[in-house]
Amino acid sequence: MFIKALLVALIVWLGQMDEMTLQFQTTRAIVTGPVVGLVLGDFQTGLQIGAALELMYLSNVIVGAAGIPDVTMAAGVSVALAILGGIPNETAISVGAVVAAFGQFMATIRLSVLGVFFARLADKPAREGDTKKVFAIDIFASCFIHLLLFALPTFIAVYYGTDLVVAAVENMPVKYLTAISKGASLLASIGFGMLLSMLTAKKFFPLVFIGFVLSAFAKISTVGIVIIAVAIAVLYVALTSKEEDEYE
Amino acid sequence: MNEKLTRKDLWNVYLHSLWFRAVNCSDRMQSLGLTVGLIPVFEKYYPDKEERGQVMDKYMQEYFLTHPQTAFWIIGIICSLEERKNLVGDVDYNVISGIKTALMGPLASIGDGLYNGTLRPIVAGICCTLALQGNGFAPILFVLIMAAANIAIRYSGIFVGYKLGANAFEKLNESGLMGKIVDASNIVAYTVVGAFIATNVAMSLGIHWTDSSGNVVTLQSSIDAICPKLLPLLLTLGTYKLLSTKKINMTLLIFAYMIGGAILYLLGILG
Repeated sequence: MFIKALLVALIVWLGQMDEMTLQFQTTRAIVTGPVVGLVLGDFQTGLQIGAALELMYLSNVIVGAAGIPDVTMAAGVSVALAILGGIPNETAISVGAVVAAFGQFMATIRLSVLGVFFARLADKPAREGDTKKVFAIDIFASCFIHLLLFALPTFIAVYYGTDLVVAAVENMPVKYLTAISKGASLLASIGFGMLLSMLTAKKFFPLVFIGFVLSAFAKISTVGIVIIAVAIAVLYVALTSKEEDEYE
Repeated sequence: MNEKLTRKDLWNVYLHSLWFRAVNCSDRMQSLGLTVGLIPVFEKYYPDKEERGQVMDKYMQEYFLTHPQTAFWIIGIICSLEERKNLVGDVDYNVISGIKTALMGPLASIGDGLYNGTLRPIVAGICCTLALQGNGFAPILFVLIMAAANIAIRYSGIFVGYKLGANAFEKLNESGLMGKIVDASNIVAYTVVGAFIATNVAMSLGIHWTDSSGNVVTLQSSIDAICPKLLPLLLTLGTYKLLSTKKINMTLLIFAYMIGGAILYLLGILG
């Protein structure tokens, strides 16, 4: 259990560090979930929970200084709870929503307490033109901050929290567990609603209904609909380009 | 040092800039990251430590906040300006400061809108749909696409941004290319979200009754005959209206939906 909790914490830390450096998006729940699942020996559970959490927080964009719900820690902890504690996926997902909110709070501390401290620490070497020291502080601070604010709470939540959550779930009647999972199944609509409200070219809104009909009525797969959508986009660009382009 | 920046220098800037977002602070945001990214430039053009310190201090103290990937365009442009400052001498720090401050807003909105707000959710949505069907390749596909887009944005930022210099963004805007990219990406986004609603939101009614011949009739089956997935569509459009008219706390909304959905199920309204 100790080693397993440590591994989950490590994966969450690596995900956070990716977001700070390479930004290959391994920090997202759709990646963290299955990776934790793979390490804990149940890839499919990790995949299902990771995908469900990803859909809930689909278009999280940092606006100004406000942090966003943390999907990395949420995916790590919920997948670990589901696999190590054997609780239903939907219950694990609802715990994930709590963890995501906690991670958002950690992100605020990162920005306004630890970030301010370490940036100040780099002021003096910067003024002295000491590039190596500035670079070293940047790297060290980043690793340290994410170990303290994200990896450590993940470890504690998995190592000490699993039994607590399992006990709570075991005492709950099945009827209520099903009710929670029904409630959780509505959550993807928040991700899509958020995504729709972020898009700027509102004149294209009716396309939502075309996509919906292609899927709900015509049963075309999502990849098929993406191909149709890209074709419409290419046509639009071609038809709205200035005429003289064609004679050049 | 009377030398232009070489490709090797620019690659070095690229590698240092990977730590661009490593430490943000609430008052100056990414100024430390920007300073770290430009370290190879400082080392090349300001061999004297005292002079280098003065320049670095200016970058460190000035507020800087933009999207961590489109930021590489600003870094590339600053590289060309720092080079010009040292070789030609007709720009000073005030010019650089003015240009970076002018660019950080527009580039942030491009990055947030196109990368975080459109490309990532669409790719993630497709991969989640595949993942929920049990396809284990979905997460790998997601990372491959996002990493490719990331490298393309960052590489072009440093190298094309450096080449075009301060006019880079102006030229891009004049060509009308940016507007076209936004339109095209929105067309794909709206269409695909319509499909996502039908495949990924689960909601059905639990109301049912027994007809005169003793068969159980559900309200949901009558709705399905008219428009399948009608409830997920209405729920998502309602959520969209709510989110676009009011500023709502995401976490509260998630719990409201979860608890509301659970209560409606217990009452027998949802099935």
